[in-house]
Amino acid sequence: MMRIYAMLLLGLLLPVQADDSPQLRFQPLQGQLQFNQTKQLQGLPVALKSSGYIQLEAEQLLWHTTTPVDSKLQVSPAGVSQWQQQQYVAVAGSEFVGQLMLAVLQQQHQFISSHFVLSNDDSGCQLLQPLQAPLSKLFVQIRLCGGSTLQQIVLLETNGNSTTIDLQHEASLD
Amino acid sequence: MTKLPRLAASGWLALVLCLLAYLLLQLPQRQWSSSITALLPAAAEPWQQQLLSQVNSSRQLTLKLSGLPLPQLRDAASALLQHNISGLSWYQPGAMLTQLQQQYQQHQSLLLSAQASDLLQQGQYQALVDAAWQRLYSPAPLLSNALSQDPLLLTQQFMEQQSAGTLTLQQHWFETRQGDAIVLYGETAADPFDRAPASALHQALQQQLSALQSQWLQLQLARSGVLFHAVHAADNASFEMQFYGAISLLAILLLLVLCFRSARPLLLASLVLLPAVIAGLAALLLAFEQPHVLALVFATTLIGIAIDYSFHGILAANQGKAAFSAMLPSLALGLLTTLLGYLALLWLPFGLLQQVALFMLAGLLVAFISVWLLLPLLLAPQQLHNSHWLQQGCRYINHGYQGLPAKPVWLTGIGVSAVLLTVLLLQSRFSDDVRLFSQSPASLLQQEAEVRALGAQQWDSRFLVLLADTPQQALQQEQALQAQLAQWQQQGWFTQWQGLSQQLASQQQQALHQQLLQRAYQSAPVQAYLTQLQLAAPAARSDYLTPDNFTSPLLQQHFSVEGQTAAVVLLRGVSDTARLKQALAQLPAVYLLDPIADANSSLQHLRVQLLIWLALALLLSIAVLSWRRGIKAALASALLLTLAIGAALYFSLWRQQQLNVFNLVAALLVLALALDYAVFFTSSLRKTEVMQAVLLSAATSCLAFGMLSFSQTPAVASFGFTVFSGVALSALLAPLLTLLSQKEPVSGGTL
Repeated sequence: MMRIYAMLLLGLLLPVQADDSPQLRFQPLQGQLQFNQTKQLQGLPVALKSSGYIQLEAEQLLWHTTTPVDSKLQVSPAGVSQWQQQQYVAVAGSEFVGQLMLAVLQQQHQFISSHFVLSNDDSGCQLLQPLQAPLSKLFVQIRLCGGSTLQQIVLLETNGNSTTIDLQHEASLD
Repeated sequence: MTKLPRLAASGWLALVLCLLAYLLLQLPQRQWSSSITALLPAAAEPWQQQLLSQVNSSRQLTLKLSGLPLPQLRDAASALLQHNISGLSWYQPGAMLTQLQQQYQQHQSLLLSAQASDLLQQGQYQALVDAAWQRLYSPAPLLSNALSQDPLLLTQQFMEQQSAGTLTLQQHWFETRQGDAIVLYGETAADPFDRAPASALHQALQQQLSALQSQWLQLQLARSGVLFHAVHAADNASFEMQFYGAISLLAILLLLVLCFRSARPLLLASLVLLPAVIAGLAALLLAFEQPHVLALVFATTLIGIAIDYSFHGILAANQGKAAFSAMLPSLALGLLTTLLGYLALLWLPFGLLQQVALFMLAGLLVAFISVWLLLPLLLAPQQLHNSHWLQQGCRYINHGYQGLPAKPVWLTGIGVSAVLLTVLLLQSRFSDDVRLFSQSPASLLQQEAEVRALGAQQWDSRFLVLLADTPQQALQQEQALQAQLAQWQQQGWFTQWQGLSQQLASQQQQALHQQLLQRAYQSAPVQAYLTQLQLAAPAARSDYLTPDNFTSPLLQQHFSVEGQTAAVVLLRGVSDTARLKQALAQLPAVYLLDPIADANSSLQHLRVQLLIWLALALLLSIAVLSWRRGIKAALASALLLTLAIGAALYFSLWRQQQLNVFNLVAALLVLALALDYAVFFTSSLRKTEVMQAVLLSAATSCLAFGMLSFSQTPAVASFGFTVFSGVALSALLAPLLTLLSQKEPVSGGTL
């Protein structure tokens, strides 16, 4: 009888132990989101601010900057394509960035856990530290903040540049 | 008198033993080539030869993993990469990209896209400023110090405009955009045609792949690369050599036992065959640094021809010294005509045929000397029991042939020959395709096609070459050709091209970019842009990126040949070679190299040469026969040879739909063998023994050559079938020569 209790207890404990590492806690995003982006670039005294909207679909997203310039990017696991002269032109070497953007917005646990170490900071944000190149060559850290839904993404690049993206859901705007 | 022959025989055996010792010393050290290109006649220009020897894409291999969901495919690919396979290195696309980005980062503003360069030259600065703003507001990371060194972000955009390809780049491999397959690229340290290391590597890789497939049962693998085909070809050639050689040897031994009911002829035949093979191999190793395995496949036929000599020798020696001495001139005449046939091959500029010819020349000469010196000493008269039923059969057949009327035989022979030659002239089509040399199994070809269908880095065998005096000039010329290449690509002459100039501009071009940029920085649109960003215009830089301080796999497309630089531009999906050639003819120092087409053209040239040599060898043989046997016998022999060769080629045409160069090589051998038969049937020797020896010889030759017609290699199969039909027909028709020709006067042991 004691053995059965012990096994039951062990069975209860096991999932707790397996769940010890931080999990992505935001709800996957879908549909249209408004964004405000602030870029701090090394050697540039002024911050670059822009805004627009993100249209999220299952396998890809549209990143449409409307202010101060009109610019469209299509992001998919295959990479980033830029709207140029009435067509999307693939941006070479952007595959990792494309995968990363989709994985963060859609909270793809598998991609995130295989490429980043997850931790929580004091302010309740989640920190993603790249495990290996080429992401580790591009980013020092990625910070994800918000309540139940993701509200802010901060990309800290290895070259000292940083990009802060504030997200607003269409529903919360109403 | 008896001492001299014994001394000669002992000396001969000692010489053979020396050759054997040489073989035993050399064989373990030597490598056998299985490279197809190594067999072909050399390219016309010396610089082309040098370049082709350096351009080596044969070491690359590609694996496609599919059949599983992407995460499992990644696990399988990771598992494969974890196991180090000696002599095989896998490409790291992610690392290569990072390295390229680092180099561009350190040389920003020096490298620009053609489009940006045009805009700068045309002074359309606003378009460049708009593109820079768009890029600045993109969430994608920028190169370090991009704004301070290259405020218009032109190098950043140049880097991003490079061909993204059809596959998605990952750190250690590529993935299809649909995520249904992973593609791994590797390179072998050893030449895939170097059999021992290539086989070891192939085996190690196969073991790893089998382990993967047993772990992931649904995993599908497709292989592409010369390694897989070369190892298969080498294994196949080796197997065929051993298998067909062993079968023909067994058949010969069985025939001897059936005919003589004694093991003694086996020993005697071995004493002719073994020295012949030893001498053939020794000659091959002496003359060629790296003999080809395919030469040995062809040369297994030495057994078939040398046994012919054994049969004549054994049967004659068994009748006594006088009969042996009477037989010897005919054997020598047969040898002479055969040697002439093989000598013809030796003069052709074709490595494989030269090796076959040398092997056979040495082998046959040694076989003859062994018959001459050894058989009379080792076989006493009447020591062997000659099969009674075989002798009776031969006598009966011979009687049957002699009963035929000579005139109708002549007329029928001439008529059939005329018809055969006319049909051949009208209907014969030739295929001069180098791919006849080897035939990969359908499954491997299917895998190859599967990998190619992905649009992976599989380049055409045809490529462009730009010749220049210096590496910088080569880059300039390649850059100048870029617009043409883009135009030809747009016109669909090929689907893609790759050259170093796509990644690296010439020093002259980089200097020009700096001048143009300095002018742009002073323009109103760029000044406004810089002011808005509170940036100062950077100074012109001269720390150019050159082939010496640039690292990229594309650098391997520039070669140093004969003091010049050859820039190779790889092409994919070439569909209009003729127009491409025509367009290139207008450009100086730009060439289209097509090794396969060149090899096919060499084969065509060789075929024409072989036809001429065939006619010459026939005429020469007839002249020799006419000298020894008289004009009537020579003409009858010519008729036999025409019928046998014509029919053999016609049957081959009917079987293959097209003739090839190997049918002609075979025809040359039919000529040599049929001449042997003609020599004996036009001699004054006893026809029963001649018939018996020719029948046994033809049966063994048909076995040896006939087996080759089952070879998986089209070249070997074509060769085997033509020789088989030619020899069978020659043996069938040769007894008619007694009827049609005059008899040879009985003479001594000289020619």
